[in-house]
Amino acid sequence: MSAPSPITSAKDLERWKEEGLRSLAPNTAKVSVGMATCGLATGAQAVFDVLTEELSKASSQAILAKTSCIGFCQMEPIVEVYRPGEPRVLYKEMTAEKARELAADILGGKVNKKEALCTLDGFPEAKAGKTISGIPRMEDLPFYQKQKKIVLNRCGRIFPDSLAEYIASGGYFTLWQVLNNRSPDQIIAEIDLSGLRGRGGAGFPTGRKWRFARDAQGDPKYIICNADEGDPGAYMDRSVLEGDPFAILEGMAIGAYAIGASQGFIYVRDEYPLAIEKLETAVAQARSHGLLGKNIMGKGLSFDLRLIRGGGAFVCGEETALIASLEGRPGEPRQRPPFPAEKGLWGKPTVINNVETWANVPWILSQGADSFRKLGTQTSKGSKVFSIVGKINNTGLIEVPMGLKLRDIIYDIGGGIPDDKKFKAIQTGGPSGGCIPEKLLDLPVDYESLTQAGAIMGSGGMIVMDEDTCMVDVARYFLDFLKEESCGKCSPCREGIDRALEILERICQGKGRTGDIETLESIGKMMKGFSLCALGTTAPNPVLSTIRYFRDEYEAHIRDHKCPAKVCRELIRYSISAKNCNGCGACVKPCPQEAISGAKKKVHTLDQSLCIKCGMCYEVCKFDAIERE
Amino acid sequence: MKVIEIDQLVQKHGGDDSALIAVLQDIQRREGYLPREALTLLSEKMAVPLSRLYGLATFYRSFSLTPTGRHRVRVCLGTACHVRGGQAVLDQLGRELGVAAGGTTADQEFTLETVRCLGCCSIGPVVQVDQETFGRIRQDKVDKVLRKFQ
Repeated sequence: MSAPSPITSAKDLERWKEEGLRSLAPNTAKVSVGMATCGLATGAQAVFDVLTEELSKASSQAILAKTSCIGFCQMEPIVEVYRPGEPRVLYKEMTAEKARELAADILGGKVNKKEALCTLDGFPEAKAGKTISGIPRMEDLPFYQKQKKIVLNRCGRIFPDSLAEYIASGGYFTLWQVLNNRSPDQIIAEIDLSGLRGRGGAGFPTGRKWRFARDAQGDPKYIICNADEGDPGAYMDRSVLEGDPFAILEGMAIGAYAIGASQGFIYVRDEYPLAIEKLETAVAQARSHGLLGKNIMGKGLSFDLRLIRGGGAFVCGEETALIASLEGRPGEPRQRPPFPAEKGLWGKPTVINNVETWANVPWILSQGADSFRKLGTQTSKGSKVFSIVGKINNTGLIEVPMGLKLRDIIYDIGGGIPDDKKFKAIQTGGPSGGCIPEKLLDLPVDYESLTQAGAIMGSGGMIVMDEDTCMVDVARYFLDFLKEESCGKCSPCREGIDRALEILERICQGKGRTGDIETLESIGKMMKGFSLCALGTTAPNPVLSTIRYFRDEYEAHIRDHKCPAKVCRELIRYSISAKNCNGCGACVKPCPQEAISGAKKKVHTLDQSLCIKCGMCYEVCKFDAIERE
Repeated sequence: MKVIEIDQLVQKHGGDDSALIAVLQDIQRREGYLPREALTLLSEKMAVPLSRLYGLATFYRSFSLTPTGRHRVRVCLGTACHVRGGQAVLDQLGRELGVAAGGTTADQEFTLETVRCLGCCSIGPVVQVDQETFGRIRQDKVDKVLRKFQ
């Protein structure tokens, strides 16, 4: 059913749904390989190629398919095996050899338990399935147990290019229902009631934004999807775009109907080539089948959109900078008011929302505002997607109800800190956010609590840091990032970041001075009060929050010229332990300075005058013979 | 590049000012950088000052005004990768290639760049060479990655 033919009736949708259901649950074995960016970066292509080879052998009727990220990135490459009438099984850390074994088991009708991660429910109908002894169920795995999937529901479960599978899992039924039965005002009221707040970081109430745009004067009106996910450590939007692109198209079409827009843009950062590809495929199909363009679903709504690639500038995640970029200008933010909802792209009313916000829209309208409100806290409703990365055992993407404790995320879902290291801080909100220490881990994750603690929710990136992370270096790192990304237009930000960075670099080099901390605080206060946009006003957050909770580390650097975490190069020293060194010489060649010498099987020596503290010897030594202090 | 090619690119992207960045991206992809001659032609075609195009070319990271190497090696310095030792990976690549971040090797084979987050945070440190992404890189493993492209 791929010849261009518009979907203009409930019957059409039902036919597509049937096709999708047959594809999702065929009457033969089906193997799906996770091939989003993380999967591909860890070797999923090789796994796919081996499975292609093995499963195409004469006796086999098994279908091989591609899917996207199911969230447990630590375990990539991941493969799902479906057999009719049997529980589905997820396999982890697949390699070409394991794939060969797995294929043999599938063809032989055996269940491979060795490499299994868990069993999981069927999709889209999640029937309480049978279990297989020896394999845990997904809902019993700590990583998945506390999750509530709304936005990530289809990721890793469908083939993202397949319109049929999207429809079979509920897609486009909401748009159909909306265009047939509900008025724009009703839509806006429902979104407002749900309490949905912008998921890009600012957390502005979505319904209110739509209401402003609907009431504003100006024609045409525009809808923009901000897919310029720039916070380092955050990749939630990427996964949604790669795994469930039609959800964004449907959400935006609903938004266009609600505010009266006819033209939209999806602004995707340049660094996400696969996401762009998936969107292009989805848009082409949506156009072919009357889901984008003139007279959508035969109901009179005309809305189309353009895919725009970012030019590589973090500041373009800021809404007015993004709009400037769309207008062919450098991404420099401008004064607000007027806000984009009143005067945005080309001076016209514009609704600009984040990917995750758009992805929530169809669910809210189909399940109802109350279902969304049931989740979360008083001020932060619904669920939120977070990326948990850094020094954590279970890295990946999770979607949990707002209000879950940080401690639960780190220790229950995240599985705690690897190598028995001690937790030190969790950084949330990217370069606009802050670091939260151990004593605050019982904070609920919601907009207000995180802001009060000196961080922000941001787009959802959560970076876990342990005893080996230097918090002064973290502050320096973020300012270094922001120095490159600041647009330079306003003095408080441009000059403030430069001066603060200078101070932090001196501190990290052991040249800190009394009064430096106070100067940093003063610069921070100035930037918060006077910068033109949120990049500038939030730039001090990493510095101020690390001073607030880790002042002792700053003081150790400044007063004692020591880096307690042993990170800052000018303040550490590598040496060879006479006790542990057995003279194997493994460290000699990797040393870029040829600073290590010694006779075979005799304790080696490190020439301090040549050492540049790169840490290569420390990495390669298998005998703990390199000491770092 | 020829006038007609510039014309085609402008038309492909809608013909108005919002097409400027997209056209520059296509030129960057085709030529490996933004040649002055191409910018001059575009400036004439779109009736915008060359200085404005220069402003766009220097504001956005994806553009280069000088030729880049055959292979673009991008090291992720996002927070998660940084915390897992991304800087050490960058330093080692710099030593192996003999260039600083931003530089191109003398034989024009490799350009070394940093990028702030490729969105592969779970498998950091991450290095991207052209369209291929490599995860879980350690500084003592970078030579293996480079060898694939040498």
